[in-house]
Amino acid sequence: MGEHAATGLEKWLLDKTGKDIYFWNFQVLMFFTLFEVGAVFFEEIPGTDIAITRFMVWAILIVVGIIKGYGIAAYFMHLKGDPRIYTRTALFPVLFVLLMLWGIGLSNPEAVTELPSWCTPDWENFATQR
Amino acid sequence: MSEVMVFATFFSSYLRVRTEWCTKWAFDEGKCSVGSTEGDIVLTASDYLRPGGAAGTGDFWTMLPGAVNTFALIISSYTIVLALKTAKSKDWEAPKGVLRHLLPDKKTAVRNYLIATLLLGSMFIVLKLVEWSHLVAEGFTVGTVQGSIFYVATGAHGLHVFAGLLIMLYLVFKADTIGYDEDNGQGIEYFGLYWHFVDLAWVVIFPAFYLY
Repeated sequence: MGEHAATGLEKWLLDKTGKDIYFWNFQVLMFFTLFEVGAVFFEEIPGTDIAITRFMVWAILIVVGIIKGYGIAAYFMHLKGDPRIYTRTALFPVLFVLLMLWGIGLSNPEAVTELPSWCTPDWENFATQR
Repeated sequence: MSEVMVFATFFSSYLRVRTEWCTKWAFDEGKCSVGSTEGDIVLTASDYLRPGGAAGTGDFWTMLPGAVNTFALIISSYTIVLALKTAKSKDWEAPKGVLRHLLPDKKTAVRNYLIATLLLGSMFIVLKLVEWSHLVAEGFTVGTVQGSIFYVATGAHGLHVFAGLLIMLYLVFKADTIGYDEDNGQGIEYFGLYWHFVDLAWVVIFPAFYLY
């Protein structure tokens, strides 16, 4: 969130509109939040007969979540424009989060009791041998 | 990092149990195990809150607190950015029009942006309690697995918002007395990072627990 000189897109927006990147990021976040909530409020795309299916809702929620997460982290938290080490530090726990989601969140219901033999310690024999 | 892991734990636990439940969506898609009837469907918080949810209690008004809270957090993220930007600016000018009365000088502007953030955060807590009372009244209690994971995850997030409000009271007090400028604006900056993280956590919690 530290202040630094506007460059690239930030400078272009400032020059063209007179409003800074925080203002435009706020607008984008508000728009996508409206889109996200709308996906659940409506059963059909307004003005059409196209049904909003379960998978369409999933896709909208995931894509909008990524866009909003990027907007908050990159511009409000100002990781974009700060030294890369801050981004790397912030992304480091994501590795563990992904492992946790894969290992716990997306494991099958029997994952704990029916682990494959190669990753199940043979505790009884291990104890006997010792 | 520890905060990310705390919320990742709630989220992965929720995903783990959610994939096992026979929800209305899973039932309609034919994903539930053979022998399941519609009466065995597990009702999640979103089934009570969403219009058209399986519990049949959700409508525009039950979904509204969660939706308003999402906007409140995003607006509060912007107001804290404005407080920092104002504090750090060397050539701040009072805005024209109606806003001039609210933001007449730099010191008052920083304080009022912080008060706006405080009010939005307070509204978040109040609406969350309204929503919880509705859910409890409908029978969605902490006594079930789906209720437990919902109240623990959203409650932990609410606790972070509440902690943020306490810190913000100090920031408002300091802004009103000593004042913030380009030399001591770091306090708002560090708090802002925490507040944005709380917003970021809500970006994941809201769709996962309220919409899906």
